[in-house]
Amino acid sequence: MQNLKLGNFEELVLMLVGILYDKAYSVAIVEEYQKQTDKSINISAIHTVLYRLEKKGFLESRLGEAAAERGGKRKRLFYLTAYGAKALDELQSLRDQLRQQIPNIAFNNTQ
Amino acid sequence: MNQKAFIHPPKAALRFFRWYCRTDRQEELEGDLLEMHQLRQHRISNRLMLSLLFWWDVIKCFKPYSVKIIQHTMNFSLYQSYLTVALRNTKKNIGPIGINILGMGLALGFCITVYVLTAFNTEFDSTFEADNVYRLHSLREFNGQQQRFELAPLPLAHTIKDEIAGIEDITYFESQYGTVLNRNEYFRQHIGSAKENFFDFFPLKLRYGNKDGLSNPKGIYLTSEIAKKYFGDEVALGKRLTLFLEQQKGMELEVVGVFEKIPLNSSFIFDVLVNHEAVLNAFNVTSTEWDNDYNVAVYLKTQSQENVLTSLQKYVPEQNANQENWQIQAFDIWSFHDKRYTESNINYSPANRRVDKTAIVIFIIMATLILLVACFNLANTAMALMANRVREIGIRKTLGTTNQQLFVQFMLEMMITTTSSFLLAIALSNYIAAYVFGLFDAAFFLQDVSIVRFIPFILAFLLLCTLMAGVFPAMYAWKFSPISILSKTQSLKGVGWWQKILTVGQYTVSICLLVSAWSFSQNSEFFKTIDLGYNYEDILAVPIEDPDDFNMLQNEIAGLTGIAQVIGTNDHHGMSTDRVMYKTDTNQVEVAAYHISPEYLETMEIRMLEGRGFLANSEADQENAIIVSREFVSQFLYDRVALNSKIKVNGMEKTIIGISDNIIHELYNDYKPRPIIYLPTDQRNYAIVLAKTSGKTPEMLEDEVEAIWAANFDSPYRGKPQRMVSSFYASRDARNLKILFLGIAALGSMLSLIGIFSLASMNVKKRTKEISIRKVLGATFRQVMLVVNRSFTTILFSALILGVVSGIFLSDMVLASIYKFYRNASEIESLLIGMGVIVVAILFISFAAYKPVNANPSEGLRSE
Repeated sequence: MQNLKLGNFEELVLMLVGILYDKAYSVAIVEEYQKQTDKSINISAIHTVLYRLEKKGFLESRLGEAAAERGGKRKRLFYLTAYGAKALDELQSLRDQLRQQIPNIAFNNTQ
Repeated sequence: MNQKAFIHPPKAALRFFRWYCRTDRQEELEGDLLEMHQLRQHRISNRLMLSLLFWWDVIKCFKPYSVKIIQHTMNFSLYQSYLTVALRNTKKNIGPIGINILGMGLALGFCITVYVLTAFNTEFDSTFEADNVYRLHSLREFNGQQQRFELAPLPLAHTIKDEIAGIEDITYFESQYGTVLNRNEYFRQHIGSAKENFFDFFPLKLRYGNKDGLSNPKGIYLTSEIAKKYFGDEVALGKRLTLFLEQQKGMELEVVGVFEKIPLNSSFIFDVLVNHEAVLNAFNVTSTEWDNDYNVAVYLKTQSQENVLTSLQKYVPEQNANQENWQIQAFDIWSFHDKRYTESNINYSPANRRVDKTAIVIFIIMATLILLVACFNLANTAMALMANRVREIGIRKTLGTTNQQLFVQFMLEMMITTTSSFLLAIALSNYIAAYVFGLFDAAFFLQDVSIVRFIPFILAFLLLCTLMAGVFPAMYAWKFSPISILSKTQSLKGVGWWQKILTVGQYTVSICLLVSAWSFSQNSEFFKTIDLGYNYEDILAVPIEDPDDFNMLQNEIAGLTGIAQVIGTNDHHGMSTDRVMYKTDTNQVEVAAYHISPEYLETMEIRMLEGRGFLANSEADQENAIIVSREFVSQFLYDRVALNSKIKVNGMEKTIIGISDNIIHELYNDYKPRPIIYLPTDQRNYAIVLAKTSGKTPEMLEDEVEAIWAANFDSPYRGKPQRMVSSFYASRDARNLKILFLGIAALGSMLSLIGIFSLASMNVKKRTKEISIRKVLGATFRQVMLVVNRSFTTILFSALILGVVSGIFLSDMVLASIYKFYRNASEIESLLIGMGVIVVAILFISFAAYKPVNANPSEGLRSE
């Protein structure tokens, strides 16, 4: 398996972009993040990750429509690329694979 | 949507955001920030809180993804083309720039010399660690002033180590002039002598031999220079030398060591070093008790200086009881590295001292002035040269060159000039230092100072000079407007006000320097003929070792042609003085005394105000008579008729038979006339032979007298013309001041004239069309010349006034800080000098303008 160089938080944001399909722009992602995780986050952290993921090829973007609450400014909408989707799948299957290999007794011991 | 009114985000925050945000992401990011702000208003209603949160977002967004990419316009290739243009331009104007480099190089060379002089003081004794080492000083009162001597009685040096708790160790040093005989050749040398543990205090590096040699009373150490002078490349160790101290029999010594080079800015400077016991033996000093009047420079090691200082005072009464002629007020100790240890603060020290602050300040003033002239000139020349490049600047600006880039261009060009000047200055600095310090019989060079300190200094200085000279031209280019340059509407007529200020500054400094130089040369002349109160022009003084030699020498010298009179004496002005205790009504004071022969006053032409001189062969005079100086009377006998009154000197009653006029013994500004006593002496005590010449100068007869000496005596000849004996450091310094200021002034004036020449050329070039039109319309050559010169009249006139006034002020300040008696240039003379400079400047301007003004006007009109 190739090295995906995808961090934990990056993976999370990637999934949020997928969840918010066609409505995924930074403010929406911040809201969604807070909703899903119950944790607050500053928008600049999301910006950093989004632009980085775009640069790495996991995301692509286009400018969306303007809105009054945005002072008439357009938003940038992000979409998963095929490479991004594949990366999510691969990570997921790797996790599943690994999870399968953990013997039940290991879980019992910790409980 | 919430019905509440929308709260706008803080405008300043938005402005800040727009300032830093890259344009391609500005829309989306600003939209995000605004939307966040909007969303927050559902939850928060506090305006201040909302504003703060918005600010927080804006600040948090200041990250690499959002900020503008700084455009690296100053990349390497651009610098390369700057450099190419700069070098091409320098090459094209190599004449004026070369002269400026030379001038700046000389000015900077002088600055480096002044730095070296300053380093002499700041790095003084830096070769010695000397922790907890103190200098022991004797404080005395003489003529009502406190004097500080780096001397202490030898008995004190012998006792305090044992008697004062807290003194870990002591050592001492002494120095005097003596003569070394090496293979039939005499060398007059500076003889150092020290206690055997001297190297434990001050570890001087030895090239050959070891430090144990100092315990050997028959041993002698040489400096590397002396070893080379005496023995060339031969090994000096083990060689035999004979040492003569003043009037003493020769000592046979063996070379036990050769030192590495000892830096000149060190307390201990000598040509040879011997064990101090040997010196004591030579002078027959055997006792270490308090009746012994021998003094040496004492250094002590202690951790408790307060204690030691207090304990030292208890020896004062003992010293004063035993030594009537060397009364001490108190002892004091200074840390070995004390910065106050300078020539003027210490009245006498056998060790070397720091240079006086006054001298350093004067040198720094000179360096600053000449550097100002050089920088102003450089700036002016650069601006004048820029007149040829107006179009280049216009085109570059049109093509998008920013002002900053032009600034860098011109700074780079200035950097090339100043860096070349610096290289030249460093190359020249040793020649300049050799000349300047040579005037003061010293030799101290760039290689003698710490390179670690010099490099930051020189780099900072390079930057300063570049800025000082480069800012004006670079700013000058800044304000050009490309459109007006290219459409030729830019008003470039006449001379810009910056250049006016620079030129005024340059001429002010040049005139100021010239006026000062003239003042100092007047003063130097004044010192040559100053009335010191005695004859110093026709006297040759020759010290003798044995009074019995007097008659023979008198006859031999009197036989020479050009000798008017030959007399003997014991003491002599400028050569030897005694000190006696004079008892006033209330206390005892120490007074300078001269034991003289009856003929002395007449031969030396010392004026008698009242009474008579000593009579030859008069028993009564020998026993009772005394002559005092006018100052003596006004200090001690002002309330009575002095003549024929009786006074007590050294416990004996004497009758004043005459009152002589004061003599001037020194010209520095701490001079006070000295009360003097003359006592009669006879042939049994003669120590000096004085020959008075007539028709010939003493200098002309010196060789013949020396030949007589060599034919009769084994010991070295020590005679000197009286002018040399009385040749005060003050008059040497006066001459040096003149020479230095003349040199600096000449350099400054040369630069200023070159500067005004290029300025005038530029002025005429700018006004070619105007001049041509004037000529076409019938103006005569003279009228046009007047018009051309007119722009400079205000400049030169202001400089004249400022220069003359500052010159008079500066020279008076400098002279007054050094001398008691001096003469400086009068206002009229100063004004004439200033006008002379102006006239020469106008000649240069006319010369620069002559060809263009004289040219055919049709050519001038066609040229633009």
